[in-house]
Amino acid sequence: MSPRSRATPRRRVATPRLAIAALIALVAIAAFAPLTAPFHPAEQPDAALAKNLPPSIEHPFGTDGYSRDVLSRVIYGARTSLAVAGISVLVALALGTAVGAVAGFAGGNVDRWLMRGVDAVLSVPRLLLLLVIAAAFGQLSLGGLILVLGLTGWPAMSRIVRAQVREMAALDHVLAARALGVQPGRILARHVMPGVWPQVLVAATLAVASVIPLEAGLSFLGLGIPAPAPSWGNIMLEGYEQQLRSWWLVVFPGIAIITTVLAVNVIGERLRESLDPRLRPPV
Amino acid sequence: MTALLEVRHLSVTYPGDRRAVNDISFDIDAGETVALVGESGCGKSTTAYAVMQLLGPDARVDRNSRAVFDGDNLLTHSREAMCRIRGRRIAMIFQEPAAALNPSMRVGDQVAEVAEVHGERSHRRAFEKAVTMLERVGIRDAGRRAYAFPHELSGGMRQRVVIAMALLLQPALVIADEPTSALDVTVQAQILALIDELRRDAGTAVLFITHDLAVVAESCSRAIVMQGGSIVEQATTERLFAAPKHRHSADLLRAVPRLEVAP
Repeated sequence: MSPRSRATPRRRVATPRLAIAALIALVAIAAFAPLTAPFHPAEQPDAALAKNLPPSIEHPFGTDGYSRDVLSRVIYGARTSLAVAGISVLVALALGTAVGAVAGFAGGNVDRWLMRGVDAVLSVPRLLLLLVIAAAFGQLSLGGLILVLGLTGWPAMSRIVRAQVREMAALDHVLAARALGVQPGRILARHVMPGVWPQVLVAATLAVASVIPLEAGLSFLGLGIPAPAPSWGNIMLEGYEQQLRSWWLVVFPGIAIITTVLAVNVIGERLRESLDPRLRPPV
Repeated sequence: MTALLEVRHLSVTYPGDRRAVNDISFDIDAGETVALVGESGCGKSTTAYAVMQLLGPDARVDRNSRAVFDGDNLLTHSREAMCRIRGRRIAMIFQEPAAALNPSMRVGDQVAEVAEVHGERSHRRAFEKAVTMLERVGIRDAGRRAYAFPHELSGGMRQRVVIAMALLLQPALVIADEPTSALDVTVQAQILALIDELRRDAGTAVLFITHDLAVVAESCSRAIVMQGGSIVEQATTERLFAAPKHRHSADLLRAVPRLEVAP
């Protein structure tokens, strides 16, 4: 057994059980949507008689204007919304970390040029940028939407990473590592980035929490997930189109969004605390 | 015999033509302990960092400056060449052991890293070497303590870890930048004794950077006194304390607080 692989002593930081349970439940329900949803999300049992029904035993979340079961659509919509948020944040994270780490660690002209680029991108509000892209390319595919959200998300991420890298790189233990002959690449990986990851994690969590409403907003505007496929945003769009007479079309996906965002935020905050070695109990 | 480190005409300038170090020259022989003494801001740390090529990007080392070590001028070495020298041939001990250690790495891994970056391929062997070294610097139960994070150790223990890192590869020269000023008085004496013991065993030369004349008296055979970026006096410790030639040396000696017994 190598010395480094020795088990880390168990942390005593309390876990936010409710948030983790909520998120796991949400992901599980979304992942097994064909089993958990009572109906197919596109099924229209009776377009004439079963449309716009309020919540009942048979349709706990009611039905929409095409008589589709809203619970099933919220469950299938969770798939889309979570996948879009998760993957687009990963894209933003990878790009943002790379650019931010290089800029912050290299300093000088490399830093100046990279950050001017970031400033330029950030000077355009993200929603506006997304609207322009949507206008230019028309209806985006699911992959296209993920890519666009990722590509507009990395500049903010890179700023956070750069600031944290610079702060870490100025610390004495980094100088000490240099004084002992540790090469720059290894210093970045082992002495700088470990202090950056917790911030990145928190930033990523916040990013997930901000991308979910963003995607919902785009879908709500009819620019996100295209119509027959459900997403939390476009379910709400249907509710809006009915001038809120069917409140359940807005309230239930809204609750789904709020629950997810809250749970993700709570978990991110707790992760930050548990990744900070100063909060670990002694060996 | 040529000296281990020959510093010649070293000058360092900061932006705005502020001269931090002004044309200084000195030698350090193998196995010798030398003190670089002076008030804070006199350029003693800048001198050491210049020799190690660890100054910030703002600092400019004068072209004519030389710091010859192992027959090469350190000041013109490439970054890669300096990486090979730092930690292996010249190492440093820092003032603030709490800050000099990476808070996210176990101390054993940190000591082992010095061996790893200088050619030890096996982490396991490097770690074993680190544990042995931690024992040698007086850390009891080193096999277990090696898994501790720095914040779990006391200040004196941390400084022992820093010393273990510096001396792991038996460098020819150790630069100790105020190694005891952040420590309790009782721990200070232990740390000085430890550095001296390890120095004797390995034949390492030590350059103490300090403003503390007690450290000079206790540990160093020779002292270089700096003021305002220049060297004002170089003498053996005995001669400096008995009969300081330069007025500034005398001032420094007078500035040492003394315990007076009330009548």
